[in-house]
Amino acid sequence: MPLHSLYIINKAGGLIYQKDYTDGIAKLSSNEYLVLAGTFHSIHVITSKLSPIPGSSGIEVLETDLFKMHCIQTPTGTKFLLVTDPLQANVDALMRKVYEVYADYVMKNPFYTPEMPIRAELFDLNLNKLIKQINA
Amino acid sequence: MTTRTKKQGSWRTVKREEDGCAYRMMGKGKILRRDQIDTQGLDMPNKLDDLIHDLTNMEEDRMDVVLQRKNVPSSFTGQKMALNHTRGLEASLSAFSFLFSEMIQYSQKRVAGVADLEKRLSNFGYRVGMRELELTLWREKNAKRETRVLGILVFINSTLWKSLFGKVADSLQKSNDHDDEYMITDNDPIILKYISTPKELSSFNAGAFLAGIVEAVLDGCHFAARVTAHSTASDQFPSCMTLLIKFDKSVMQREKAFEGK
Repeated sequence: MPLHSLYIINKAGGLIYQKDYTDGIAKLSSNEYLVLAGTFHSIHVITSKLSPIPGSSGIEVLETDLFKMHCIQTPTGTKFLLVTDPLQANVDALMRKVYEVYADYVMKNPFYTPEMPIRAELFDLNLNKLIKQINA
Repeated sequence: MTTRTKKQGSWRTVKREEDGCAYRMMGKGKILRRDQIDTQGLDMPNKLDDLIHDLTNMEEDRMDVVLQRKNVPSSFTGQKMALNHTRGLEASLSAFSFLFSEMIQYSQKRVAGVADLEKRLSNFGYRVGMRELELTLWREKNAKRETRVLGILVFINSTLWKSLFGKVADSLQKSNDHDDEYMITDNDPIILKYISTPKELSSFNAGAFLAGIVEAVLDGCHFAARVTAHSTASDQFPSCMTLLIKFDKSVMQREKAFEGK
C-alpha cells in the first residue's frame, strides 16, 4: 500500500515540486507536469464554487480503482497533492508530516524564494526519509 | 539594617536605611515594598493591597524580589534573578531559524561575493560572542581565567557549546600540518539545521556566524585568532561543520614561553 507521488502547487497554480516514489509510474515531460498542476488548480477552484454550501474548500479526495488522490490547502494557498494506493491508511497524518517537513526545510531555508520551484537538499533528504518509512 | 518606625493597625512600617525606602510589613515576614516614600506620610495606595496576598514568607534581606508577582516572568519585572536562571529559558528554534534566515538574506543583498557574506555573518557573530563570553563566565560556578591554548579550547568545546546549544561539540582536534591550527567539529550544528546551501554557493557556510562567536570569545580571553567555518558534510551528517581556529603568532610565542617554564 505505497505512496506513489507528491506534488506541491503554489497559490498561483504553478508546480513548485514533483516527485515519484514508486517504480512503474509513467514519466511526463516537465511541461506536461506544469499543465497537470495548473489543471488541478483550476478544478480545485471550480469545485469550491460548485459546492452548495458557501465558503466550502475545494476538492479534497479523488478516488479511483487504482489510486487515490489527496489534497490539502494551507492557509497561504499552497496545495499539497499526494497520490497513494486506494488502501493507504492514515493519509491525513502523513500529509501533516509532509507539511511539517516543508515548513521546516523550505520556509526556514534562507536561499528559498517563496512561490518558486523548491531546490533544497535537506528537504529532499528528509522527505525521502519520511516516505521510506511509509513505503517500507 | 532596618528600623521600625510606626505601627498602624495590623501593619508595621519599616524603613531601610541604605536607600531610604519604606516597607510595610504584615504579620511575620510579609513585606510589601514601596519606593522612595516619605516616612512621614505612611499610607499605601489601596490598589496595591491585593499584592500582599501574593507574597509568602519573604525575608527582609530579599526585599528586592518582593515586587515580583506570580505569573509575571522575571524578565518583565527586570529583577536580578533572570541572569543566572537558565532552566526553561531556551529560545525557540523556529524563531531563531527564521531570524537567522532573515539575517542571511539581508546580508546577501548587501555583499559582492561569498567571502564578503561570510565576513558579514562573522561580524554578527562577533557581537554575540562578546556578550556570550561575559554571560557564560558569570554563570559558571568555578570560572577562572584561562592562560593556556588547550584550556581555552576545552572551555569553548564544552562550556561555551553547552551554554549555546545544550551539548558539547563532537570533536576537538589539533591540525597535523600546522602547530597553530585547531579544529572543532559539530556533526549536527543546530543553527544550520534547516539551511540547504545551493550548489552555486557551495563554498559558503552559514556557520561563519558561529565562527564569529568563537573568534570573539578567543579575542575576549586574549587569544587572538582567525576562525573560519568549513562544511565537512557526509551522508550520515549532511550539515556537519568544522571550525578552523588559527592562532596569532603572539599567542603561540606566549604558549612556548609557558612550556619552557
